[in-house]
Amino acid sequence: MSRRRRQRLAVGGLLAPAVILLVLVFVLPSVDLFRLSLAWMDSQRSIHPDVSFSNYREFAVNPYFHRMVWGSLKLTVWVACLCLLLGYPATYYMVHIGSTTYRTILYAIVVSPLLISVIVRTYGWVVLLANNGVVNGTLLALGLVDRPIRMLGTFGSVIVATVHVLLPFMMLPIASALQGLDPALERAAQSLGATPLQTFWRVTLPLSMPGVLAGTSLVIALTLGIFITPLLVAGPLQPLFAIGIYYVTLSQLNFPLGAALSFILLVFTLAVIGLVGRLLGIINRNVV
Amino acid sequence: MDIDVQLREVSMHYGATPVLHDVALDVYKGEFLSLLGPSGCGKTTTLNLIAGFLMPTRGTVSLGGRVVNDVPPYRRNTGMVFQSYALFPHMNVFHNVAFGLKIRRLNSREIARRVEQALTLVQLEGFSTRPIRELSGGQQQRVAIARALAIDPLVLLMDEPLSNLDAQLRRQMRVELRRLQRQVGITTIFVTHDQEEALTLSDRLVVMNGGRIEQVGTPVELYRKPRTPFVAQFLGHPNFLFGEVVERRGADTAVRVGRQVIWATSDDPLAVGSPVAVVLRAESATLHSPPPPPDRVNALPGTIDYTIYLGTTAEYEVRFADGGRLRVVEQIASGIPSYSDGDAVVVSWSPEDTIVLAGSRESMAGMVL
Repeated sequence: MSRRRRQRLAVGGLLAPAVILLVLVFVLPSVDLFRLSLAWMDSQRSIHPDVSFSNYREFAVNPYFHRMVWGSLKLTVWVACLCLLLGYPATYYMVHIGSTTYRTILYAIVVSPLLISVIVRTYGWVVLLANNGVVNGTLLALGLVDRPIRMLGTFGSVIVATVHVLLPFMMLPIASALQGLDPALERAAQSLGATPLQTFWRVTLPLSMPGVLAGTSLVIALTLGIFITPLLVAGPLQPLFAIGIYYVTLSQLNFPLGAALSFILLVFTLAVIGLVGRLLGIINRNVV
Repeated sequence: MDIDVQLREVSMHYGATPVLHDVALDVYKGEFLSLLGPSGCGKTTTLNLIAGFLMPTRGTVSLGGRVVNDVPPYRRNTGMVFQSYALFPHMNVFHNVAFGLKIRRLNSREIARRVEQALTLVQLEGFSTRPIRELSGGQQQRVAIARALAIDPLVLLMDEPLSNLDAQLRRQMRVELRRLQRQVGITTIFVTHDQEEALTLSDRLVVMNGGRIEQVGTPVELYRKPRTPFVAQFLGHPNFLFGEVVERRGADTAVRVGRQVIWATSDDPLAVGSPVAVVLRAESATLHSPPPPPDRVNALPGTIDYTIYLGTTAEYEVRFADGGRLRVVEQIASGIPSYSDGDAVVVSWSPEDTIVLAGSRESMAGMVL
């Protein structure tokens, strides 16, 4: 066997398990989903398997779905921006800290939301934000408000709870990008006259952009599809994409429409990530 | 002579760990000064103190006659070349070299002119638009130097800049660095652990050990007249022989080592009876076939124990009747060693090539090879 042929076989062998798994659990169901999305359900709730685009038409004309897309988009912008603004400085601090012990503790805190069950974590927010919860109790006790402020069930509470769970997905890629930088780069910039702020803008930030891009993409993808957290914090009436799919599929039992919406969400997510990647790339080039 | 960089009684601690003790140093305008020593001797710390990346615990650092202890690195106008080069990977050659000029808000014509000038200096004309990752190690090294020189710094600081290059390129860059430094006339402080590098490049060199300066001087001074055993053993390949002073006639000093008496020249006041180390470089001894040449003061008969053949030189280990040993390096232009193992030889050397340092074997334990 030729060397090249053997190499190709080795590459194939290494890739095969992942490819097979992806085909089984992603590609095949996606194809199936797409086929289902072309079926339609009549008012008697019986499903007709013939090909039609009625579900997609329904999505295009029904204002409920438009509100849902708009809600998810709004949530995504808020969450992505907050994760970036909160996550980047914290990550920068974490990476530059001298003590290893301290850094390990900080990493543990960062990933902690991922280690707790989504139910427990979200009920934590319920306990905090409820009308008789910890935050309102404190505000009342301090005399800052007369009546409890309604926080649970608001869009704001969805933002807070979502940022909490998705922050590590922003911070970990940024941390890995920052850790990969030669510390001499920042010193070099300073020896050339750049203040710490100039050093950050011209050297550190552009070089950590791959991490920012990866983190932002992850957070966007996860926010667009987030479901349990907003459901528990704000109930099933929040106009969000995934909650809409849940409602259509499991309450109305309209599987074809649910499939169509799922497919739209998938394409929509890819489009948003592609757009943001482009945008960050352009900003990055212009900064340098 | 103008002093560009001055350290006065500088001490430095990392937490409770002292890394520099009372370092005092004047660096003159236009000179090439090397900080030489083993790792952990404090040479890089000294460089970082001058660049401003570290603050001295005690003492003052002055640049151009001004105390800069409280001046941050970005206001010191020092050009630094790093061991890893630290080129900005997201910029091409031009933007790397232009970085410091853009920070100084020069107009774009002036920036282009000075970048061009700096690249010409390091013989990289026409490389402006190349991305950094497409450059070889040597070329990256040159870009790093051009970038540091472009800002017209008061002093050029170099932290082991040649240690990432292969041996041949390193020798080539050494020559070029020297030419460049002479041409620009910039005060340069060069950190290295490589004695050959330090000897070939420097106007003066500073040998450091354990956070202290052992000796400062020209390469010839340090090689010929080391004042401490550490300096003696760090430069060249010395033999250390321990004995005591038995006679002094002016500068001529007789030392008894075992059963032999060795004559050396020393200006130091060494009392008769005091313990000393005789330092004899393997390169400055000569081998003869017996009988001993009559005109040599120091001539000891011995036997070749073994030979290390290195092509243009041969290193012999000579054993004496009293058990003492001496390494002798012979230059052999022919490529054929003059002696072989077991040959009876006479080792001779002149008193001027013999260094005497006060101290007993015990006091130098752990330091001497």
